[in-house]
Amino acid sequence: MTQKEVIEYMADRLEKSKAETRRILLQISGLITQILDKDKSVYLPGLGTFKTRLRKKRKSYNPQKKQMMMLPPKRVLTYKPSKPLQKHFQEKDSEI
Amino acid sequence: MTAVRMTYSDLIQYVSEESGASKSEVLQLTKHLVDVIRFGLDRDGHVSIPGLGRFTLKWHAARQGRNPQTGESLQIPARQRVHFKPELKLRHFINRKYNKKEPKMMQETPPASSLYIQNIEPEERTVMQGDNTASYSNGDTSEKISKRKIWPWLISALVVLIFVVLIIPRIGSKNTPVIKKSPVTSQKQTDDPNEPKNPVKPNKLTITHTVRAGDDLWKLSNRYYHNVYLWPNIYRANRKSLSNPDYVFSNLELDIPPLEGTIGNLSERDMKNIALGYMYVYLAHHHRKNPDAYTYLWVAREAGGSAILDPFIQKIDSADLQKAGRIKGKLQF
Repeated sequence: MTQKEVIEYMADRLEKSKAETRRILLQISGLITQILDKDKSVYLPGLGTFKTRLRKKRKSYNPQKKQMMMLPPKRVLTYKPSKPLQKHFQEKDSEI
Repeated sequence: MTAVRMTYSDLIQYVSEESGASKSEVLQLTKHLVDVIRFGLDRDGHVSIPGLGRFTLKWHAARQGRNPQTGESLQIPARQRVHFKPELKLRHFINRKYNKKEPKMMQETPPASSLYIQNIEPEERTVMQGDNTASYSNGDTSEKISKRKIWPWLISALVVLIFVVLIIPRIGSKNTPVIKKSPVTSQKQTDDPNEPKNPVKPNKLTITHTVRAGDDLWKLSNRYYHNVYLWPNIYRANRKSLSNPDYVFSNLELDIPPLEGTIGNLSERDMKNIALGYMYVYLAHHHRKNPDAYTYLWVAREAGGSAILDPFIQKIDSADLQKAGRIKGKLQF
């Protein structure tokens, strides 16, 4: 499902124009990002948990330079699906 | 740094304060948001949310795992998992403190016997080890395991390496742009009862898939066969409607031919069909003068034997056949 389809779907549900829906979606995404940026995890029922994590600096081999490199620390966003969501797709599997 | 958990009600409160909308409006919005993600994952297997990122279903093959508490080995069954990749802007924003840091060279030279081979495909990322001096940073246990089972490791790493080398030209040559114009008009239309919701069923009926925005054969193969490399099989069954194997068009109805066996255990007929698919892809790419077309020829011959080439022998370029003959490796789906 592309962004365009998502906006169409949501506009239909929210009974708002597509431009308005897009603005609302970007706003809520922005607010969620801000919360995550404050080192808080966000939990959405039926979807899962988002949180940020600091990945420590680490050694790695660069095959192009043929040398060991020290990669800098990095802040990453992680997502863990909620149990019911995960189960939903696993049950779909078992029907195969 | 442990993340403080923000509860759902806190989230609603915060968003409604910041945006000026009422709590019930925000509640409705988040519910619809979760709904659309579930709906999209169910229908297409992927959803892109503006400003947030892309959710995808990924197929994980069965593998041998270990109970981290007891160390017992156990079989982890094949399953689908929901993955999320944040948008580039979001990733940069979250990481803005560290964005400017560059990897630094280290004085330490890598042990000649150990090589890290990293590739684009996460599943195929592997460690190749020449001897026991493994520079492996996954902790003690994994090092012990790898030392104990050095030979199986080495062989499998070699097989994967060869596989990766062969597959890279194929990925490069398969940029599948999808041309489309508003395929979805309303939700009711997309909820077609004939639309297959599940991958291939044991009753082995041919599934019909209606192409939507964002689809390509590679993704369809992943979704229905749980293996991306079987896409030529879909092309084979739909050659009449697809003139170019690298293009699919919206609202096109594609037949997804069922497999007799399963991945890792394909029947002879499956292999023949797949080989034929690769053969047709070779012909199409050869016709378009793709210099890497011979890789498809190699797969066709490996999967179906040289008998599969006989009916087409006049159309095959002998230089390509020679090049394909020089590829060393073992085919593995």
